[in-house]
Amino acid sequence: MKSNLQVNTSLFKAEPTGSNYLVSGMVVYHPLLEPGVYQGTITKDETAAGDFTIVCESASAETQANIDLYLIDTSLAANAGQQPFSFTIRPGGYAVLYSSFGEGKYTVALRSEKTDYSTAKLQKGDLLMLLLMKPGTYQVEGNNHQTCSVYTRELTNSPEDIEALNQTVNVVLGEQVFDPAEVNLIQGQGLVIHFDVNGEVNIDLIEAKAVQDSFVQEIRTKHAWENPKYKYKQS
Amino acid sequence: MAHLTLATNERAFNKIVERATEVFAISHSDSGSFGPFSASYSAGVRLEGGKVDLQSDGSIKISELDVIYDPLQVTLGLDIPTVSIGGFCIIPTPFGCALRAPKITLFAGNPDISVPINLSGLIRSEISGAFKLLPKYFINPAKGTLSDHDAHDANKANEWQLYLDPVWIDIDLIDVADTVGSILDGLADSIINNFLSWAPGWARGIVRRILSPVISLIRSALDFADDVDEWISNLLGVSLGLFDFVVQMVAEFFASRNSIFKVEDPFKMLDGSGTLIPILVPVRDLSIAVNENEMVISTNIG
Repeated sequence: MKSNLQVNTSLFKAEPTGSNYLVSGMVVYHPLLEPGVYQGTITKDETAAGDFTIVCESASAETQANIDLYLIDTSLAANAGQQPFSFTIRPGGYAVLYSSFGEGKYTVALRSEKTDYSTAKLQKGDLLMLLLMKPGTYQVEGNNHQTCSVYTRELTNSPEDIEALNQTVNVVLGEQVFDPAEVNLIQGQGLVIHFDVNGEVNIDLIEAKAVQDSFVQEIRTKHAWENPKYKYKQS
Repeated sequence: MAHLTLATNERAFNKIVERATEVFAISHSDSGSFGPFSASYSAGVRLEGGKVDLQSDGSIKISELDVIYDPLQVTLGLDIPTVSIGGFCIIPTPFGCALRAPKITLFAGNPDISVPINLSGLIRSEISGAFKLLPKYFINPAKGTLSDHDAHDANKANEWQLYLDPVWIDIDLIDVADTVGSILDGLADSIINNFLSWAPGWARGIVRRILSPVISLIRSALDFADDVDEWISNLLGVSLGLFDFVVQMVAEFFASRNSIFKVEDPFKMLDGSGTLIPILVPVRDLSIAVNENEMVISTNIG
């Protein structure tokens, strides 16, 4: 069998560890309230990786600008010197910052005449969406030791689970606590943290959940063979 | 004017046709697209066996002429659709969705898969047909200005040639080896497992779910149901037109490419001897009659 299939495995390999770096499976939503021109600078693994511009103006009908950091990063490498990526949104719209591919760790700085913002420190009003793919118990912790326990279980084939993949679970990071302080999640379901304060969060996988790998078991069952001679001796 | 009559019985005629079919060998490749599913083949085809019956209506019936496909390499191709994650709503409002998750594609570029299946010698079809004998006069271009005797000596003489002109030809898929079923049975599973092989154990469930449209596509493209013979017959016969091509080639082979019998013109009546040259007589008005016992060729000579 021949295939040119290149699977985007980064979603399953990159494990988010905190809001200071954007990896695959993380999305930062930053609202741009003031009209103006915002210059975006992308850094990957501490190295400059690309630039973009967001024009925030009332004339625009766009409520969000999806900015794929991986795309800009790789386009910059491939087409050095090309025109920077440009987006337009209306005031109150969101800059949506994410990486669609690869395992790079990104930070983004957004500067305008009046603002200076970095994803390294999220602001009140920001949203951070996490796609936690690996089943297990996570702890999300804020600057003031606010904690939220996230119990992520394996996706099943039930219609409820499939439906749930299209619905996010929301928590609010407040000054003192997360609300709610614990949530249940299905692997691949979006967890959205609403920042009610400025700050960061750390994400720790406290305990990975053992998953029964039916696929592997199926293969093993198919090929397993025990020599009856030795089996007899063991018993 | 003198006459010459040659008669061949059915048994001898069987030998003549058998010898003709032995030289039939073609190779061909073709491909077709059927939505997201494509297939191509590369085939070598030869003929074996065959039973000849002379008919009272003057025709010749050939049956049980086996068509052997060896080599036969079939490649199935699947154009994998784009599969995305995300796009769901983050901030719903009574007026619609105010903010959405970005869509992330699971495959880079424009992916496709090709699956080669080696069916060499594993399927057999059978041809039967009715033919009329068709005499054609062949002016040998190599003869040029050579005299009849020089052309005879150089094996460059003109000829009367007999061809089998098809009245009808049928082709049937008659045998698909059991091994084909085994090969095809595991194919969809093998492709799907290959799809998932990169994923760590804990991710297989969700990857399977994300890839479910692709998995459905593979299953439907390789939907053999319980009838592998029918699937093969549809693929090679209907979708790719291999059987039609073989029929066309066999028809052309008998009708115009390979004569089953030749009579040199002028015909050598006596060999040369010593200083005497061979005696050659012109062959005119060649006619053929077939009945259930024999084929008779009559001609005027001299």
